[in-house]
Amino acid sequence: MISVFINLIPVTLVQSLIYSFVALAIMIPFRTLSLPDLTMEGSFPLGGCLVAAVLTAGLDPWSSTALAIAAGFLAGAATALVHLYFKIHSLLAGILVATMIWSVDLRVMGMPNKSVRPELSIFDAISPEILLNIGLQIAIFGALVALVVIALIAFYKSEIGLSLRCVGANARLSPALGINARIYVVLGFGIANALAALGGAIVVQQQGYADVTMGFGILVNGLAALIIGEAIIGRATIERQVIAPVAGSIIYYQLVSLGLATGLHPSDLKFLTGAFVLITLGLPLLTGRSRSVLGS
Amino acid sequence: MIVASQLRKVFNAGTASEKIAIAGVDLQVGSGEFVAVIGGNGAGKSTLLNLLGGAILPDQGSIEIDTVNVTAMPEHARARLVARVFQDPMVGTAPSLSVQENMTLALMRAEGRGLKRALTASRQDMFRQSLAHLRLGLEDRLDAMAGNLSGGQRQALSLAMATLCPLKLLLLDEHTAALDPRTSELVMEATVSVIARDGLTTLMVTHNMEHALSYASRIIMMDAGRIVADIGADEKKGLTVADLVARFRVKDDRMVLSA
Repeated sequence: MISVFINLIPVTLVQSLIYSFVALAIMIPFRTLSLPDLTMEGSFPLGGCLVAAVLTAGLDPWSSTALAIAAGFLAGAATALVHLYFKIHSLLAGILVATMIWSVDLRVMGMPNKSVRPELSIFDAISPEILLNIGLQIAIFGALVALVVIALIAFYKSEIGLSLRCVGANARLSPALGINARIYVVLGFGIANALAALGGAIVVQQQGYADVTMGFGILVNGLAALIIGEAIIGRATIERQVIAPVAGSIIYYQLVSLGLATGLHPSDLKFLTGAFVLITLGLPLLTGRSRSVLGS
Repeated sequence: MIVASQLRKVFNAGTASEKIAIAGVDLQVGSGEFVAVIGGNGAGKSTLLNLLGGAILPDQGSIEIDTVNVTAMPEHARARLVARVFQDPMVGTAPSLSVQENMTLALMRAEGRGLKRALTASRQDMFRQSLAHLRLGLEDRLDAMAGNLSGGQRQALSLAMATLCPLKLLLLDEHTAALDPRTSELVMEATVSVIARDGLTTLMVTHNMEHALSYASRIIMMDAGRIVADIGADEKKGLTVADLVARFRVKDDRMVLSA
């Protein structure tokens, strides 16, 4: 049974690299802005469904993927605007937007799922070898994730990025320092969901089909990945905070794969993931040794 | 020159908990004046500062800063003209950011923001100099998290942030009240030295009569949302703390205690 797990390590690694975009998307509003967001559960499938629709309609893969990213940004911005102007809690605003996106996905695709031929994908446009070779996929997704991580770290260290961190660190202070907090909340939510949509667009082009249900449960998976990553990498510096969700994603999906290979029933997975998140969050409080992992 | 005319602010208007916080305030503060604002709890001192800083907008009246009408200008836009040190050391700095990151944020208040790298060597030198002026040892702790500083150091950092860039009006909201007496004096001395160096136009809310008498060039007393006394430099000269308390029949325990 262990041999099944070992054989699956490369495939799981590819999967975890793609899903690390979702973990990154959870981290940005939650950690940087101190405003948890659930929109990824909608923006991830939005990216996937939109890319499937426009690819099959004949748009080139680069523009299609860019369109998916832009749609994700808009979804995040919508949640932020609902939160800021209608004074609705960010979590509820995210649920509302994610729920509404479900209908958008069905409209965009015109059906609940859609297959995307490999030759339409962005990977085939780069080299037809990629979709046939798992090693190449690991290399290309690894490079892409590394690029996003480096760009995000540079952004966080820029003047605008520092202002974004200030909005999350001290909401009362930021306007006194001339920071228009609303713009930064929209920006942060937008960037996060653009990354989630990019993840959705990649997964659809890699696996060859889109499905409106593809976002179901990704939020808890991403949260579990983020928490594992922060437990191992920490979040004391910007570098650690940005690398943590990626490292956590890689470890989490291998753990899931190991569990499934050793006889775990797939239908029990969501319960166990949720229980794992709860235990990780609750244990430090119950033992009274330290503050909650999520803080308050 | 700061000109506030006919300012009025009512909280929870039309409800049972209606509170007239500012009931018609006219105030002119000349450039370089250092005004202490005293008065009991609920007199409207903090609301006046909030109105001048833009954290809340008035129901009536107008505010001009050097002939620019800022009455409806939101706080973040007004931050180019007005800087502020809060009473609570937790509010004036971003705890999870380092000392130099906090200083960078203060610098960008005037310089604006781009995608350039926020921390640079030349900025660090400038922060070191600016913090050394306060003589609280912050210049050696540029990399420390603001949240790990003591209350006094955080207030000093907050003061350094407020006065880093040119400004038209400095607002101090009981900024030494949460500190122990010795630290309070240190932060007050640093404050006075910065104000004197830059000739800053300042409004300082305080419960400490000593501070009001010895440092400010003018004292205004507020009660029930109005300015009830305005003591200029000449009149202030002969006054003692006991005179002030007696003269205004002060009801506020904190003011009496500090006398």
